[in-house]
Amino acid sequence: MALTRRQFIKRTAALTAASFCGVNLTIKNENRAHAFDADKWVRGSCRLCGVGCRVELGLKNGKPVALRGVKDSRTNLGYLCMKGMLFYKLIHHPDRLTRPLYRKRKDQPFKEISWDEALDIAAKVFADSVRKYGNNSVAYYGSGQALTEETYIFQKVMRAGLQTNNVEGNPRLCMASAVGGYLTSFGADEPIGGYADIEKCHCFFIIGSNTAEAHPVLFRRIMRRKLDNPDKVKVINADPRVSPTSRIADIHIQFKPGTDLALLNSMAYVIIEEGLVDKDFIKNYATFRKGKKKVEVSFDEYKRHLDAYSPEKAAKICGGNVTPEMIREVARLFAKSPATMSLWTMGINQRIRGVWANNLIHNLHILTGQLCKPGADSLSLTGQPNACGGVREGGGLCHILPAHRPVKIDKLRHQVEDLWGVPRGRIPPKPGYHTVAMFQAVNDGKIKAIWINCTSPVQSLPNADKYKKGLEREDCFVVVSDIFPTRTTQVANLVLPTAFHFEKTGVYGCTERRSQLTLKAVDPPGDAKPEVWIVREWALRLAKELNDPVIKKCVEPFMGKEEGFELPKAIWDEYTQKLTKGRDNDLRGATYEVLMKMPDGVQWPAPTEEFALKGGTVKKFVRGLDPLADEHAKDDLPFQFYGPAHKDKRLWVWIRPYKGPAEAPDSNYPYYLSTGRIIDHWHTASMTGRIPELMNANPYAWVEVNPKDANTLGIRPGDMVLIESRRGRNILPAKVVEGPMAGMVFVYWYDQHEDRMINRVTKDAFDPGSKEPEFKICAVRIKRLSGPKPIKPFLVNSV
Amino acid sequence: MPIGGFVVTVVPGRKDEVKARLSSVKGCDVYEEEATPGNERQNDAQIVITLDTETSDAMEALVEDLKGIEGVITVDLAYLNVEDEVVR
Repeated sequence: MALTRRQFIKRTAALTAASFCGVNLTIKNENRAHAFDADKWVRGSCRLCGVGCRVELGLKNGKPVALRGVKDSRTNLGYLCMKGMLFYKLIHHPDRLTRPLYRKRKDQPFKEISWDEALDIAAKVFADSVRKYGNNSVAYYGSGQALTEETYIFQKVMRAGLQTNNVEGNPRLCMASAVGGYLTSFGADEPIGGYADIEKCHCFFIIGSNTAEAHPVLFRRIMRRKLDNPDKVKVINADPRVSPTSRIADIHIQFKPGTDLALLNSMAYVIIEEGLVDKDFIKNYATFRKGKKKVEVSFDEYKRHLDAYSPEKAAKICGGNVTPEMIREVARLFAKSPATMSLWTMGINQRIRGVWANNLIHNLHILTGQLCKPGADSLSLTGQPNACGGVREGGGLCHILPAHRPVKIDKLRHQVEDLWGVPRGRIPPKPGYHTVAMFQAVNDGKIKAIWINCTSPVQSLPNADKYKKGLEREDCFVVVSDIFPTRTTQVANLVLPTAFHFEKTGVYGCTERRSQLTLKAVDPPGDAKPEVWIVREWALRLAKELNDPVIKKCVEPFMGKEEGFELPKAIWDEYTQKLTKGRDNDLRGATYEVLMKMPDGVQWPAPTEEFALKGGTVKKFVRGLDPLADEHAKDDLPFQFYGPAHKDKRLWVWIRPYKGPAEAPDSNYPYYLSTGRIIDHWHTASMTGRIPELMNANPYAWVEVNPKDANTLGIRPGDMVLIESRRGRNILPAKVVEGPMAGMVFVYWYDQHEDRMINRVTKDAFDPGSKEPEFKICAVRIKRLSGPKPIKPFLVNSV
Repeated sequence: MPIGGFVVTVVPGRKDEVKARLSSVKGCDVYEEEATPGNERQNDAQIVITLDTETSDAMEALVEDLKGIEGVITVDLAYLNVEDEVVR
C-alpha cells in the first residue's frame, strides 16, 4: 500500500491549496513505510473470519507495516480482503490493554496491578468458589478465535484440574448446529471436502449465507468459477434477504424466514418424484432414520413423510417469491449437475431447528450422491478462524473432550484421563452448561466465578440485556482476558491483557479441516501475555490454593517452557501426538516443523509427517485420498464412512419435519428481524472498529427496510427508526432497500453503541439438539421516530 | 477527523522564519515548493500547509493560533475534507 486514504486526502488538500497560489509542490515519500519496504515477512493466518487465508506480516525495523497474501496458499491463493490486509494496525494500537486491571466490586474503578497479584486473585477466587460452592460453580467461556493451544490448555485445567465440564465457547453460538448436523448425517464432525471443490463445482447451492461479505475471499473463488463458466456453472442463492451474494445467482429463492426446512424437504420430494436419486449411492452407503431414538426406517417411509412437502404445498409455506416450478427447477439443477456444492452458515445454524436444517441439506447430497467426488460437497462455512480447530477439535465445548470425544462416553473420557496421567474419574461424566445455560446459571447465582477469554458475550449473546444483568452481579467474579476494552470488560472484576495474533505462536484450524500455524513476530505491548502462559501460571497457583497436585500435573509437561514458541509447541505436541492419535482428526503428522514448511497448512486426517507434507486429506472417506478410509475399510467400496458416531458406518438420511421459528410475527410484533455481517466489520467490531479505513467506511449500524414496508410505515431513507421486540429496543437510521423481503427488517450486529446493539432485541430460544440460539429470527415492531439525525460512531474505549 | 488544505500568506521576507514555526505545530504539515532552475524563489509570500485535527472545532482553534504567529497575514482555507467524528 503506497498511500493511506488519509494521506491521499492530505495530498489532495495540499495540491488544491498550491493551485490557488500557483506553486508546484514536491511531495516526497520519506519516512513512510511501504509494503515493499518491509525488511522481514513472517507467515501466519488471518486473524478474522473462518476462511483461513494465509498472510505474511511485513516488518520494518521490527515494526509491523503491512500484510500480504501468500500466493502458494490453497485457501486464498494470495488474495486478501480489506480486513485481512489491515489487521496489522491492531498490533501496537494505542487502545490495547497492557496491564492487569482489578476491582473488587464492579461499581469501583479499576486499578493497575501486577501479574503476580492478578494471578493470585484469579486463583484464590476460583479456588474459594470450588471449596464453598462446588466444582460446577466455576466456568470458562472461550472463543473460536483463541489458538488451539489456548483452548486445549484452558479446558484441560478446567476439566482435569477443577473437575468441571463448564467449558464453553462462542462457537456454540455459530457452529454447534453444523456439528450436530455432520455427526447425525455423516457420523463424523466437519466437512468431507473443502475449498478445492469450488473450482470443480457445477452448481453452488448457497443457503443462509451472505458469503460475499462474511467470507469474501472464498466468495471470490466462487465468483471466479461462475464468471469463467457463466453457462456451465449455476449459482442458487436461497435467502429471505437479497444480499451482495445474490448478485451472482442465477436463481434467488426468497423464502419467508424460518421456512427453510419446508423448502429443503420439498427439494428432496422433487428429487425422488422425478427419479433423480442416485440409487447405487443410497444402496451402498445410506440408511434412513427418524426420531430421537434414531430408528432405521424404509425408503418408502421416508418418501411418505415427504408427501407433506410437494412443491405446491411447500411454496405456500415458504411464501416470498417461491413457486412450485422454482422448487422443481432448483431440485433438478442440484441433482443433475455433474457436481453440486452446498454452502451455508448462520442462516441455517442459528435456528431453533438448526441441526435439522443441516440434516436436510445433507439429505439432498446423500440422495443424489453429490458427495465424495470432485466438486461435490456439503460444506458448512465457519465464521471464526479457529472455531473448528480449537473449539470443535480441541475440546472447547461442554460436551466434548479433545479430538471429538463425547464427555459422556466413559471409555473415551477415561482415555483422556489416562493420556493426561490424571486419575480416572477426575473428569466428571456429565457435560457442563452449554452457553445459554451457562449465562442463565450466572443469572441464577449458580456460577460464582467465570473466565471469559477473547470474546464479548455482553454484546454477542442473544437477548443480551438479560445476561448482562447476571454478569453485573456482585456475587459473580468475572475475569476477562482480551486485547481491547469491550462491552464485557465493563462488567469484569479482573481484566487480563493478552497477546494479539503474531505476538504469540499457535495454530488455527479453518473451515476445511486445515490446521495452520502463525508464528510470533513481535513482542506484545506492555505487560500483555499469551494465554498459554497465563493459564499455566494460574494453574500452578490453583494447585497451591486447593492443595491439589493433580492440577499441577495438568501443566507439568509445560513447565519452564519459553512462552513465545516452546510453550505452545509443547501443548500442540501433547494434543496432536497423544490426544488425536487414533481419532478421526488425527493430526500427528502436522507437527510445528511440518506446519512451518507448508505455505498453507495440513488438512486432517494426517497421521504421518510424510502424508502431512503433501497437504493431508483433501477428501475425507475416499480410499486413496484419506489414509483412515483405507485403514478402516470394511469392504471394497471406494468410500468408507468410518465416522465414530455411526456404528453402521453409513450415511443417514433423516426424516425431519418442517418447524417454523420460535417467535413468528403477530399483530403486536408484525415484522421478522434478522441480523448479519457487513464486509468491513467483524463480530463486535472491537478490532475492525479500531482500523480507521474500516470504521470510516461503516461507522455505525443501520436497519434495512424493504421499500414496501417503508412506504406503509412512512419511513424515508435516513429516518431514525425504533425497533422493539419483547426483549429490548434499538434506535437506528433506516436504509430503504430491496434487501430484506417485505415484512422483514435486517440489522448489522457489530455496533457497540447501546442504542444500536441489536442483540438486545434478538431472541435466546435455542435448538434443543445443538443448544445454538435462534439469532436469525425474531418478531419486532418498527416505528419512525424522526427524520435523519447525525450519528456518531461509538467504541467502548476504556474499562 | 477533518483535513484541511490552507494557503498561509506571510509578510514578504519572513517566509523561512514562518515555515520553521509552522513545522513545529502538531497536526500541521508544511509542503515544500519545487525549486525551478533560475527561479529559486517563485513565491515569496505564500506557504502551502495541511491541517489534520480530531475535530472541526480543534481545526478552527488551530487556524486562529496560526494567525497569531508573528509574520502571518492570513490563513486561507482552500480544501476541506470532513468525516464522521468518533466519540470516545
